[in-house]
Amino acid sequence: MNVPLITWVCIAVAMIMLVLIRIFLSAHEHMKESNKLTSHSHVAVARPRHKILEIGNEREEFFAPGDRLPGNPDYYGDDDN
Amino acid sequence: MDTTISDIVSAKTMLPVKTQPTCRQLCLFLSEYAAWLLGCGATCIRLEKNVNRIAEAFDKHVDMCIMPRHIHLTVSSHDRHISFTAISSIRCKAISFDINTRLSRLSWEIADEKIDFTQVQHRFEVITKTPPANKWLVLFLASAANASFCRLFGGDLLAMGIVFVATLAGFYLKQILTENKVDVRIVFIICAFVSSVLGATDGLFGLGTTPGVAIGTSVLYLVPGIPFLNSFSDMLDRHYVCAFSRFMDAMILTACLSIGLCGGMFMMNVDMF
Repeated sequence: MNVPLITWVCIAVAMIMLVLIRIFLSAHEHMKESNKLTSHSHVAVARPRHKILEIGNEREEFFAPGDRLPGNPDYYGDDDN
Repeated sequence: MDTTISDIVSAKTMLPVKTQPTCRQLCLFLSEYAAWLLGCGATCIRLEKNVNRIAEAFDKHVDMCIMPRHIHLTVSSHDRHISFTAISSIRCKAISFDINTRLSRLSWEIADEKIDFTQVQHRFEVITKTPPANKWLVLFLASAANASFCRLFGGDLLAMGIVFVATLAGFYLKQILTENKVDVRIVFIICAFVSSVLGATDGLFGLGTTPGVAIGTSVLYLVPGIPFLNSFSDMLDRHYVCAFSRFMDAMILTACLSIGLCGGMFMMNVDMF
């Protein structure tokens, strides 16, 4: 076996092992947490939701030139001082 | 006492008396706001505009000195008789478009809707507690984006698949290492190495027709695009210190990416030139 193939196999196996171990650990944690919840608590904790898609407008974008000024909807100026 | 007639009644904004913050309150709030906004990846011009917008809405004047890791901020009353100064360290958070957008939106809500200062503080608290985007979704989308880049650079379907897997592995590793507080430069070297080794699958096994494109595009997800863009934006706005700092950060990360990529190509016997 040559060096590139050994390297590739090592990296690929390491990544597969990493994924499998992480899946196992997270499943274990999840089981522990669900056991705790069922045995101790009956109060649902509200968790903040995260929207996948959200519609914004140009005023919330990052670039500043062309921002509309408050109270003057028709004005789009390059107010660089 | 930190209160004047202009603090109490604002003819410009017509806010009720109790909603007007003092210079001290507004300065402390704005220093936190600015630290978060800059930490989330906003440019200096965006920061100046948002902070000035909020200060004007409360009939105050603000002066800022933006440094790469700190913000020096002075809020003064309209007649400049009272002023308060605060220095805050930038919140070292990952770049978040979500928090960035919400903070910008908050500044517009203050300017347009004239919301109460206590409401402003409450909304700010909520924004700073925004959870990060779903990491599995980010992982999938980053991999899909990188595979698309491979196609744009002329890669075949097999190369796209290999780039997708290489990015998936590298990005997943990046998430794990970042969670474990490993230095970002080390993270970039390791991830670039892993992605480039996996990206070389095409050439190693002689599967497709575009192995060079596959290995080249497998590390594109690590390119620090936002720091580069922000540095140029700051430079155009004459914030040269911040621009240089961001540019150097981006250059160091790019160098780390290159080290990892070169290491991977060397190990896989891929000709560089």
